[in-house]
Amino acid sequence: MDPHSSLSKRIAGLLASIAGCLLMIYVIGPWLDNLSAIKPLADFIDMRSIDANAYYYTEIEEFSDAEMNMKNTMRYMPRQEP
Amino acid sequence: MLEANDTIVYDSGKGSWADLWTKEDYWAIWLGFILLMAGMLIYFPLGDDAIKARIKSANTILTTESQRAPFKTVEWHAALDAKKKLKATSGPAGKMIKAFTSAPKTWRGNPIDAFYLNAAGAKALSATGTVKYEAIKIREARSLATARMAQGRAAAVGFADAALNRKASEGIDAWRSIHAQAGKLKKKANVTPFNLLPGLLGFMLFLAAFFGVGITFMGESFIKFTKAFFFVFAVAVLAYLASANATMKHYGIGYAAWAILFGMIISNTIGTPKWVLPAVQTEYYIKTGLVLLGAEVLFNKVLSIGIPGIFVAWVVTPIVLITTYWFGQKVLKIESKTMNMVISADMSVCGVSAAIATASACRAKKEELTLAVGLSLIFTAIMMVVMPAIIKSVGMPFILGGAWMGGTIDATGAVAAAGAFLSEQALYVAATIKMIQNVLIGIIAFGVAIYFVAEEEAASGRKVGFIEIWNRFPKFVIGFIIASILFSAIYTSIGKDLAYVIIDHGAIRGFSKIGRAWFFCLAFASIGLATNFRELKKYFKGGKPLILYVCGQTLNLTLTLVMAYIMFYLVFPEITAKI
Repeated sequence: MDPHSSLSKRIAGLLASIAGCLLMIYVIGPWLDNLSAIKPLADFIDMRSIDANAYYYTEIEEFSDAEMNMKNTMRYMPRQEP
Repeated sequence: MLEANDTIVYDSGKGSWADLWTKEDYWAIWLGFILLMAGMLIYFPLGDDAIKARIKSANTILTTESQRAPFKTVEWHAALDAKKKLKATSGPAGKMIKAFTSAPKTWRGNPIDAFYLNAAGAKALSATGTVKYEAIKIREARSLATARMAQGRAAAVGFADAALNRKASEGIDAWRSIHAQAGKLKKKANVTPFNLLPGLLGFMLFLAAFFGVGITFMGESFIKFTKAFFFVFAVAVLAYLASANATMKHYGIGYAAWAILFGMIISNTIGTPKWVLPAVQTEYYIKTGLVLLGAEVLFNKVLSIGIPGIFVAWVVTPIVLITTYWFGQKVLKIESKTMNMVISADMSVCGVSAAIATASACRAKKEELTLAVGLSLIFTAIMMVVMPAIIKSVGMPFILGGAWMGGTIDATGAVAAAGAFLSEQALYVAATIKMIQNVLIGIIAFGVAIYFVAEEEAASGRKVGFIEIWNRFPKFVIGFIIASILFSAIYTSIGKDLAYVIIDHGAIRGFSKIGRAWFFCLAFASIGLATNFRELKKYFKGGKPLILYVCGQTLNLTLTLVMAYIMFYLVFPEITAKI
């Protein structure tokens, strides 16, 4: 938006942007969630409470569990089949 | 600073002793290390003899069980569960720090639920959670009984019958899957009331003072910074609030994207107020966050999954990064080398965190980082939905699928969701490969910093010597590297098990990680508050960033799948069989 435009225009732009965000959170997101291709994954993320939007491995509990499992599997690997 | 130029990181080519207390790079190092030292002082004493005895007891069981059966027995998993519970953050200090620094919690309809939950609300949620937990507890008990019975049958013949061993192993895997779900539902059955607002207020004042000290030494006004900081912090809280929405979590849309978006909405509509500019300190927050990130770059993690994981994460990733960068320069002829590098790293390594580190190391423009974050966001959302569907539809083995997703989906959280959606084993592989890629950030940031400094000097026609490189080298990267080496050395010296208790679930998850995430959020809010949307458009000219991303990701998907198949199914099938 042009920084020299009128205050009312700029406020209207702000309100429209806020409305866009609310539309995304309250309408588009839940609609996408109900698509058959997405619903199973969305429900699974809810059920397991996975932070699917985390950015680094230290932010997610699943990574800690996975690492412990892999580390201990390598260290205490079950013996070979007879 | 941001007002003076528009790069993420800027350094002049000269150095002096006064830089130690007047430059952001050094302040980032001092502040970062103050927090790291505080984290160590709080959590390291908690690794006492009682903890060591419990670790020893669990390890004795693990050793016995690994020698007894050719699969991971029920007792093997129980001993591991006992080790997993040992966390320094479970103590009073950890709980108090969490209460005062907690970001908004997950919410659905009403955003106030992210900040406040009264006793009645907690009781109602617990009641709902208890119904589900009780139901899964019964399922878990049944599956455990079935697993024990199958294991007993295999044990009765001395684990000599391969069919009985396989059946026992499958039964135990089924129990572990339900056990993982039960663990999450148990938390939902024990919801406690909370009010985050006093803690957030106190944390905001602390951060204002924490960063304000450096600002004062750098010759700016403490009062003006503090007043402005409250505004930037409020934008960061809003970003965390939006990212905590349950629906937005399904698509991997995190605080970075929301912070940029909210900042840009303000700056491009009503305009960022002038009085806010003293706290729009992108570089200062990002550098301090990166020094803290150094402590999370633990090189010991590389060996977690053995040689197959190293090949998938540490051989494919650099090849894809270098090839994509070369493709961007030579074929697409992207004008900005820094944008090319940030997108290549973002796509090939691990999304936003890699983009932040490389953007800072090569002094990329804030618009270039914004563009890389946006591309990563879109492709993460698509890939986390599409890849598990493809893997299931073509009947690909889940461990191979997990390795494929771990090496290619940008965002770390999305890897956890998509991996767990396939199976527990797929999650273990996907998460471990992504974690090894996360660790690669340290080497890539250092290499990129050296490469760009040397190239800048060479382009200027000057002799490229050590002093020239040192003068132009972003100094905070030194802090980042030292933090990484220091924590990796401590991690090795005290042993992996104790390190899990006091470093992984102590100084890092209980302290430095919290600060690092908030600092990155403040940095992205600052980027948004200083970005003109029209400036951003010109970086997307000709759609070259999108073409670069798509071509690079195609190579990444192909190479990762081939390498994962070779490593997990042709070269090391015995490791795959035991996962």
